[in-house]
Amino acid sequence: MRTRDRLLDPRLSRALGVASLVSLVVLALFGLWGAPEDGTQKEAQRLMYLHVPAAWLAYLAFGVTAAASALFLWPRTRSLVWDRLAGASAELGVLFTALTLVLGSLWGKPVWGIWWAWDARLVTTAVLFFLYLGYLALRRIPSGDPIGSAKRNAIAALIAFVDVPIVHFSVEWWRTLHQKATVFNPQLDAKIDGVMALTLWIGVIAFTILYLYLLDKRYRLASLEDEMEEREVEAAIAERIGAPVEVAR
Amino acid sequence: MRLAVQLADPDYGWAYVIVGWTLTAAVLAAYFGRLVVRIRRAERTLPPETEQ
Repeated sequence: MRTRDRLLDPRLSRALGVASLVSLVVLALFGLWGAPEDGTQKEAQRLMYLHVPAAWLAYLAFGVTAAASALFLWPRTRSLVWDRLAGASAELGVLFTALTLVLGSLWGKPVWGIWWAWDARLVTTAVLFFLYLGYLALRRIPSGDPIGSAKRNAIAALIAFVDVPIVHFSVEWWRTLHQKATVFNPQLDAKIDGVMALTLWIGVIAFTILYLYLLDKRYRLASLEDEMEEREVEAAIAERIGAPVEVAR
Repeated sequence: MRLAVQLADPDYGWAYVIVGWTLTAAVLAAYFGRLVVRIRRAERTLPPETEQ
């Protein structure tokens, strides 16, 4: 019997879908209305409630890609399931990195007066985006050897992940226009409080739930696409094997 | 009234906030919608899950 690979139980996936919708609505209520206006940045600061969770998700997604890639490379845990999970998570990471860059630019214009600066945090984040875009392009290269191409993908994912800590610590290592980490700073001393901190945490939780839900969906799609490809190959082989018989008649 | 004044004043940055939040919602909805369509299309192409 052929059973399609799923990441989560369908009931859990549905529950995550509902939870992500509810938490995103709560985030919108707090982020656009409940949280107070910032004294210096005024309303433009409300972009933080999307920009920071999007950046967190990029780290998380690429972390999952790196962990799944390492599990694939480790001979005892080698399975194409890890390769599929790595690819699904990387696609979400690229999506959320793009959102991080665009939201940061939209926030930068009213606060810094410019859309873009050649700042260490911004540049390393852009590099991260292009590294994983390249990784996704690498995954699309056709190959007759699934294990070989999965090994190549896993090595590329681990190399690209080196940029994640560089992005995070760039504000500590270099003088940057971008502010230092507000929550995940080296002292783990959150420099935000009250309703603003609560809203930021709602954003982080809502985006994490959304990530898990989308990851399940993307994994499911990858599983279905792999099966379609397998069936196409099987059909092509069957046709090849069948052809000489027909000629012999 | 206060909100209307703030919306009209570029110093408050509401325009950037509205563009950012709308863009995020649109991108996430479009990505999710595309995933669902592709999954349904693949499920229609493939035979039922219990098939031998």
